[in-house]
Amino acid sequence: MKKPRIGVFVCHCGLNIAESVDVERVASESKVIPGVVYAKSYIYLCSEPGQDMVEETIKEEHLDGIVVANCSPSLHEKTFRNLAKRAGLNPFKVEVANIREQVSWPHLNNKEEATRKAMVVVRETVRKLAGDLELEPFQIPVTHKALIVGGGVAGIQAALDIADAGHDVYLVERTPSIGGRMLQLSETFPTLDCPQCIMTPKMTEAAQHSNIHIMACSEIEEVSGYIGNFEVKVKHRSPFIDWVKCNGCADCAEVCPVNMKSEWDEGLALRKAAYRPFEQAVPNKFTIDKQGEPPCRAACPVHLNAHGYVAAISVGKYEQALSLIRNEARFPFAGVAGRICTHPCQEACKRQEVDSNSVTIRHIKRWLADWELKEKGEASMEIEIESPSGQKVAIVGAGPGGLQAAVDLRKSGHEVTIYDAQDKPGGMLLTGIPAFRLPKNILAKECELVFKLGVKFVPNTRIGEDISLKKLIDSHDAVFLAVGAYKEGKMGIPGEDLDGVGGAIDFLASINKGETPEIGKRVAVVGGGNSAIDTARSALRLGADVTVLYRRTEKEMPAIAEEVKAAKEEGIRFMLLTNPTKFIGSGGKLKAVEVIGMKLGELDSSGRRRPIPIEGSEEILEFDNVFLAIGEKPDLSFISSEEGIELTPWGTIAVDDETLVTSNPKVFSGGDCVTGPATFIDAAGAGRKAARSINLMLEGKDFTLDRANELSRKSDLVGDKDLAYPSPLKPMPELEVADRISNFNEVELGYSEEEIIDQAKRCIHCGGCSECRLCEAACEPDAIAHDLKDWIEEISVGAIVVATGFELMPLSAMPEYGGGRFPNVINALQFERILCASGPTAGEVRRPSDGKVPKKVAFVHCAGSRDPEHGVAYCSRVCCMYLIKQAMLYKHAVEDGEAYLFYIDIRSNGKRYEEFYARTMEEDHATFIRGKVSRLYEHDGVVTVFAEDTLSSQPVKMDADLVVVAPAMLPSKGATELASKLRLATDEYGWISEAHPKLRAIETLTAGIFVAGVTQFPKDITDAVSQASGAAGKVLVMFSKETLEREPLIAEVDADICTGCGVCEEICPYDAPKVDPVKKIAKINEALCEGCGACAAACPSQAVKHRNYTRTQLFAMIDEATKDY
Amino acid sequence: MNENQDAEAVDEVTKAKEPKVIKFDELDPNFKYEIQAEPSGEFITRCYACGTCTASCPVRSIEETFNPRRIIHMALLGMKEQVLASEFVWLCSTCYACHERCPQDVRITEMMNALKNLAVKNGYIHPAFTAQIDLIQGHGRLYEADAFVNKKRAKIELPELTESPDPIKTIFKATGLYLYSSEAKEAGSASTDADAGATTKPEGSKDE
Repeated sequence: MKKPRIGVFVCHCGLNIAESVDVERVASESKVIPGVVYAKSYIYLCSEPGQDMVEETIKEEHLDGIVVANCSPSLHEKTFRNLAKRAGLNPFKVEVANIREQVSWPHLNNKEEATRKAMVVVRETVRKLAGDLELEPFQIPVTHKALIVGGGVAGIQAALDIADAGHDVYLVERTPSIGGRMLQLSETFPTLDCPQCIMTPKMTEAAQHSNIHIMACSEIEEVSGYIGNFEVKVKHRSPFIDWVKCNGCADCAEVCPVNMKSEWDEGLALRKAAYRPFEQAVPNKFTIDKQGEPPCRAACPVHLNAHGYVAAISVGKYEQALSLIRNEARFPFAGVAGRICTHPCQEACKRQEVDSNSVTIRHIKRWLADWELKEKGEASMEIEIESPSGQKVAIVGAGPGGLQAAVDLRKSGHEVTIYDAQDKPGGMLLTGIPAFRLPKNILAKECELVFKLGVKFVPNTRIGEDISLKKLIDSHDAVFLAVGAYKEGKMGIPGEDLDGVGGAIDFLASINKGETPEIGKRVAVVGGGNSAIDTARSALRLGADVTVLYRRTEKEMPAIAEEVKAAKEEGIRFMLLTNPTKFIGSGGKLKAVEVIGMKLGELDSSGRRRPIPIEGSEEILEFDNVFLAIGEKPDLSFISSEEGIELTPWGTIAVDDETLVTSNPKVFSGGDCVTGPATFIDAAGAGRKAARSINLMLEGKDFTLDRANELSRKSDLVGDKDLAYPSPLKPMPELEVADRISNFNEVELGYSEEEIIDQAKRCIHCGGCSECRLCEAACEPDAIAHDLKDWIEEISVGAIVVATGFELMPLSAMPEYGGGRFPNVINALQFERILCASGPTAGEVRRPSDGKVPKKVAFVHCAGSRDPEHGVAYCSRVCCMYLIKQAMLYKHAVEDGEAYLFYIDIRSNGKRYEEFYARTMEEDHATFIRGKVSRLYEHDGVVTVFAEDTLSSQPVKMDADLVVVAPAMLPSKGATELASKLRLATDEYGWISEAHPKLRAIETLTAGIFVAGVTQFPKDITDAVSQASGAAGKVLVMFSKETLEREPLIAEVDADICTGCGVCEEICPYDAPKVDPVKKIAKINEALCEGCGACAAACPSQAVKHRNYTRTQLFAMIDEATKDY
Repeated sequence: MNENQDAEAVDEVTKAKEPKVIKFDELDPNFKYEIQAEPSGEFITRCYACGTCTASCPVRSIEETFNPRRIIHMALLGMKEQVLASEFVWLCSTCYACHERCPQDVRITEMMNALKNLAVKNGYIHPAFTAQIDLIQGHGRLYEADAFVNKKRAKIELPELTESPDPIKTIFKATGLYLYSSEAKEAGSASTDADAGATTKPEGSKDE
């Protein structure tokens, strides 16, 4: 082996090193280190003569490696590597011994120790150099396309610079328009330029630039690859409008009934759910703000779009509202549900959080159905029936479940036949609900809608008697059993067979047929459900004195509360905690009922408290008739063993909960015959669910997949309560009691048109867009696309510039300043909008609470900034200047107004900034008070501000009309997630870390990714734009070459040793190592490796080696360093 | 009005108030380190004089001499004598309003305790505290258990209170509190530097 020829060069660095290190001694003692053939000290090695000297020496002395003992390698390693190259030495045979930062500076007062330590550092570095290999940089290709993340002023500037140089640029912006924060500002300091004037030309230029591809409404989904070769997945969030077709005409926003707070105006103005953030938006396209399914729609078992039709009615679009129910949701029963639905939607309605009452969705739906009959004379439903499938479905039972299933099945083109034992369709709606709640003509008209679709109705046909179920199954492709629960419950007590004791269902059926059953004067009804109340109210209308006997309390009654209330108004007596024990008759006819008092015990399986009889509390009450309404059961006697349909132990049909298929794969079942007595809307929901199963089955698809949550779902979306329309719930007008107890006329009278619009406006629009689809009709180019999904676009780029900007610390984080509760305490961005000519007040300074011109405005500096107690220790840098500017603009707008600025220090360190500050004091007479605002509160439209004027040592208490707070600037939402996708480091606040705070402030620690604007740290527009152009310059330097040179100081794997354990893969922050799944050997992607060494340290088998930082080298250094101890 | 009178008047004002010019050679630059060495005094150097404390202070709203921001600033400058000998050190009501709102987390209320401790160490103690020491040392509790008290207690069937001040005195002697009592002062323990029993230092102090 050739003997090494190493040179050692010791730098004085003026006195920086020489003051505490005896550099001459280090040089002379270095000469005796094995391998060293030359050593010399010099005053400034990095100077030109110094470099010339080293270069000459390398040549003259034929050195094959040099150690430069000077400052940190982050400063001059590159200098000497380049020098080595010039001298014909491999640059990687240059090592730096840091004797400045690590030796002379920390040992300033101990020359002896410093010199000794400097020697150790030199010796160990020589040992390392001896093991260094001669390496060559490698080349990687560069894609000459750039990605800019963030379309604010920095992003736009960077995009324009790169595009102007002839390269393609993708400009990804999260919101629907580029422009960013700058465009929200009123004017800019210190020149008072209007951003709308100086910024929009740049936006337009970007939009029209053939090299710039603007991707608005988009986010970075995933990034892979490495410098020069990034693969990026961009997620386009659906704007629900086809932007190719949209011409920006605003017709959709014109008709949109949903108001939301405008982000662009910082919540001080409204926009529609279909919106463009501002007039000059780029791209000039509209977006629909749709956040998801609102709670009302989610809770509905058939998922009627309650939000949609309520919104449409609120703007008088009745036709469209009705169409959403009948044609979109294929739900015939607008009038029926509008009367008797138990409205799960209203239970879920978030309006209740505003003023305790939900939007009265049911009544709104009823009004709509009434309006239809009044205006058009008949109900209509327009559904496009698909071409005939040639398949046949039989439905047993024409109740709500059977009819809803029929509609959904018929739509798919199947031949549908409904069999029912009654002569008319409707099921329990027909026989169980009296006309004073549901007029018969309403039911008839809406049932008729189903048959108009071509569904066949076979009346008066009882399955099992007139036709066997087996035959039905054999002659059809599928059967849906929706036979309901009609079998009366029995109490199992003496006397139930007496004349005068009967079932509520039979009684109601008889009345609903138009008969007048003979009953006595004194009538008792046993039970607390809707049937019981309907029976009681019906009996009352036949002239009886009615008493309801219920074994629990009113709280446990399953009946709708409104019905119980109406029954009481009508004079029906309720005996609660009372249960019959014996029916007493004479001559086979009921005379009296023995009842017993009850008390409530423990909770039972239904979650209600179990009633327990109180012994000895029996009493005898005289009644002529008793009707039992105590839990009906389905009559399933038509099912025989040969159909293979299993029943449950409770006497209902057993089905799969998600698909409603019975144990016979051709037969489905739902509604009361599966669940026991339940509600109309649950039955309709079951019908819809079964129809979906049957449709899928008949298409030959697996109907079991992905079926969870098909009935009622839960949504936690809440609309903006601040925007709640102030009208309270108006109770439903009803017939006077005297006018209703002697007839079966409908009790609820309905609202007027004005009332219903007022009620509809109470909706707070949970989730934004209501999907009322009014925009669809309004849009001329047919661009609305409510079903458009998010999509991913994959792009390849060589460089990325991150410019995602900032947001303000929310006022809610500052309880001392009211935490956002005070209407006249606003943040500075809101005041920018108020000052701005394009703002919500058109540039007139008016305060948000009452629109008055504020005569006294207090400006609060450092709200959250310079405040580690609020989590932000840094100064946000621009607040001093913009508050000064706002004070000036305010004084320009309100000449007799007073502006007070509460500051701690004024930071006006920019070109013409100090002069601007002085001008605000001298010419605009703003008053500066040196003291931080300690707290403020608002009362009667006055905000009291507390501070100390520290210059006079006097506490200040000031009543202001408006307070403008300058909150700390924080990284944009999602910046941290983006940083982790890009593998970028951030500081503790989330600002993206630069590669070096002074010298590489535009580069990140990941090669090929640059940072521009506030996303690195708060800065003003001037600095943001400069940094953006700087980033563009860096990108263009990369793009000026076809290939990139990469340092070879990276990790490599010794394939003979590697066991493929994958530890390196886990530990690498750059995803450079990958274990080959077949060979079980790790391989380092050279382009991705940043040479951090984590894998080499972690590798348990020492298979990963870091080039020129091998274990042998490092241990040699440690040996050398610790030799004296 | 002759010149002498003028000069006297000016002199009066100067005496009554603090010196108009801060004399840096009379300041103690190590005072802040002394405060930082006290428990809960360590955060005093964080202060950037925003005045939030003073604006929040209920004492300041009725008593002009009490200004936490000013006290901290005087301490940081090294105005040791002016701070420790002052009445205001003792005025803090420990309501913690400044403490809660301070953006720099100087922990002012507890820092005030550090100042009080330093004041006592340096021989300054407010007469109110000497009075308390005398009471507790003399009676074993903060108030006298006399016949009137015991009569009232007897009425509501509470046991009679007897005074046993001796153990307290032992404790006070062991902890050094005794030195601040009137008894010790009268006994002429003038040799200790903690005999003042008032917020002014005894003779020999360079503080005028």
